[in-house]
Amino acid sequence: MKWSQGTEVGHIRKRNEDSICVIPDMAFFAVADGMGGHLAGEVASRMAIESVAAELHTARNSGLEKRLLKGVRAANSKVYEASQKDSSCRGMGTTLTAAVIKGRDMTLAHVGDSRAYIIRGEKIFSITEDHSLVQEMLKQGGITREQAREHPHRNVLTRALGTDPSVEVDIIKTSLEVGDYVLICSDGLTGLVEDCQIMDLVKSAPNPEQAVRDLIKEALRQGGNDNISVIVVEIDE
Amino acid sequence: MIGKMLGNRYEILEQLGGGGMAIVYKGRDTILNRLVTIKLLRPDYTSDEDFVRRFRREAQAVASLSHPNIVSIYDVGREKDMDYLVMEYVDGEDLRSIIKREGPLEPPKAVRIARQICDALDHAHENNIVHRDVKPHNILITRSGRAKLTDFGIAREASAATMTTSDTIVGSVHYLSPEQARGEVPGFRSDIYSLGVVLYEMLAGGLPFTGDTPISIALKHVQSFPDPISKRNPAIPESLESAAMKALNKEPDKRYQSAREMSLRLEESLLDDDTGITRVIAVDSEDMKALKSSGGQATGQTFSRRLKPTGWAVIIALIVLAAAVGVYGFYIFVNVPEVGVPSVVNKPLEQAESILKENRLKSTVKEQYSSDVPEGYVISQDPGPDGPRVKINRVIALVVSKGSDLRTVPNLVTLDVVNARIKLTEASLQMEEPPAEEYSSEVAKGLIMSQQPAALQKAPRDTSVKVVVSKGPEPANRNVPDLRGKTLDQARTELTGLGLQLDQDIIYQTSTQFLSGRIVSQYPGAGENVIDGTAVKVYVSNGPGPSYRDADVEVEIPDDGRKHVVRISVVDARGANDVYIKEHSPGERVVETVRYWGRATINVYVDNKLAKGQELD
Repeated sequence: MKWSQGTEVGHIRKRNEDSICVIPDMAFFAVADGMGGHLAGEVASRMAIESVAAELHTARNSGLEKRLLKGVRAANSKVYEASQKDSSCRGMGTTLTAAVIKGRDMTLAHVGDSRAYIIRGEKIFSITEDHSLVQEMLKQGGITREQAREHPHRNVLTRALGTDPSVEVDIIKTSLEVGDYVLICSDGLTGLVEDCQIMDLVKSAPNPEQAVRDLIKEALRQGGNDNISVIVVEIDE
Repeated sequence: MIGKMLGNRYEILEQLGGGGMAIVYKGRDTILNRLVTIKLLRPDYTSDEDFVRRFRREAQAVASLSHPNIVSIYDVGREKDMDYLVMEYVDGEDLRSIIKREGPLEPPKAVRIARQICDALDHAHENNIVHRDVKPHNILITRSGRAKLTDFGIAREASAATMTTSDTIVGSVHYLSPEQARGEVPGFRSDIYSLGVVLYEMLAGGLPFTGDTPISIALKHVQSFPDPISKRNPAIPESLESAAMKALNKEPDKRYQSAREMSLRLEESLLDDDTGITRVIAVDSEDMKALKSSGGQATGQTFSRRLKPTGWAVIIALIVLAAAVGVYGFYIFVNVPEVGVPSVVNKPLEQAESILKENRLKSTVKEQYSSDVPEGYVISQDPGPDGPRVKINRVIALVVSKGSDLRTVPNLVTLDVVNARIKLTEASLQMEEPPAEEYSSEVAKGLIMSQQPAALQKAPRDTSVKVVVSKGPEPANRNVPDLRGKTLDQARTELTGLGLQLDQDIIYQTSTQFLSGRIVSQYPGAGENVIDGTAVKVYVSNGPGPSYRDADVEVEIPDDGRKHVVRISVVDARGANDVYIKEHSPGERVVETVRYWGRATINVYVDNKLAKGQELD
């Protein structure tokens, strides 16, 4: 397994509210996109990732899926409680897409509109579903894919971590194949760069480092209106 | 904040309310000595510079408006870190409270309010300002009955930052135009739609669209048609109903093209009342219902056909004509003829279209792969020949075969859902969403147990393959233990041992019966049968707990020349504890003071034999 990660503040925003984390010995990969005024967004995304990682570290005996779920729930409580205690953190929250890859098996926990993709052969597959207003409207047929891309409320989430006392978490388990790429990213990438273009950039890069650089460069070229975070994992022999 | 001065001029008197982005105060302008309304931007937004810039720019634009039906903006300022807006103080209440209290308003009153808001919007629109959030909450009615529109779209969309539905404009989704719901830039005619919703609410006493979630309501604005107002409030004149409904057309082009036009039409609609027109509209309204029940898009067209001023001229002319030729002839003239729908299934598209045309029907075509129907032939039609007769020019939806691009269905059994989706996509097929789920003791959780069509069968391109995903073995039933009086750690250990869990969300409450940190009650209760893995919710005491009392325990040691061990055990709110164990000489008289919490049982053992016991309440 080879991987690389990168995060960029972008051209417009003053702060980087995304947090990104790779823990090699646990094959843990996570992206979180925080929200809330002042420093709260950064606090929320960082806190979420750290508490999931901590849970995975401490409870190594039980099943991965359970630990991941427990970690995300603990992260939710932690962010929520912090937001209730500290007035400067009021209303903060974060997305979280966190994967653990064990051999050929990937277990993923997902809340919000950051995404995970599998690139297999010449195709790219989104394996997470955005918990966003536009995704919901798209699913129910109220708007078209094009309208969704341009919708002024495309940044509005229907589910986020830390905004309520409890949270519903999507757990996705899948097996990977040799040659697959797993991509985890925040909406600063997917809001600007089309899926097929993401695939082309990953496939044409000689290694994950270059792929991450190229993806961020492309998002910046297309406006860079949000924080951009990317993790690329190459599954090899 | 009360008593504070802003900009050395405005004194804050009392808080009037707190909206999403601002807190609203009643204040006094100490220079002009008049009451004002002060809106203070919440500090969360003040830190967003881009937002503050837009807030000020737009406030300045709105400040340029001067109209008796618009709440004036006097000043925009900044005091330390606080941005604020100073506005005209309106002594009255908002329309929302009035509707809430009075229910449907009398048509003349509703129209009077709506027309004043039309005037306000007309003025704003002439100055190129779109309100974007017309709703009863933003319409103030003064004591003298004048309507005033407030809260113009001042930096309504916070920023590009991610946020949740709870803290956005989704709050006023009930009045959102379809184009706003779709995310398009709102225009003048979006305000007309929103005012149409307000008028509907005033007349019907309820909203045109309601739903469980903001999303479902937004979608209804895009896709659904509201009940006619007369269904909710039969007293409504037909002419007014149709005038109101025109503002609610899904397509901006088919609404009133200006607020002034809407105002005029509303005025006319009240005059139209009690004339012969009522019956004409009644016919038309039937027509509308028919179209609505069939779900056709044509409903919107019906509205506009009814309401264009030229249309009205025609209708009035028709009435004159009707008076001349008699009522019967008139009915024939305005009733749209109906036809039966012919069957065109299994016919070539060209032939199908010409048959429909002969029957004065229209058609739309959607293509689909099919293994049974040859390319270019009609697979299905809607509505079909078995349905009721339809009006002429009704659109019949045809599905036409693209021929059979047959694909081999891949084997999905024992794949996980993600991999199954990938396999299907690669084969140009799709998965029926959401996949079904069943318990299975053979197939691991999350893997596919069965599929339809089966692997290696041929299926037309884009066919949806049904799959059943395993939920794992069926959970066994467990008995919930009694956790009352236990600590969280004890409860957790006990539950885990039984294959159950402790609910993470623990609620603390005061209890005089249980000590702090002890479980007071639980859900599900002790002895309930639940499935494996169920989380048991517990309520934990955070004190003060039962008060303690002391009891003197007396024990006479037998005088038999041997030593004896005395043990005193207390079962109370803390559980069972040995509070005293000691060896005593024969003939000794032991007096020990024992402390207990709440109701208790005290047992005295001599050489592990129960010597005496007492229950204390």
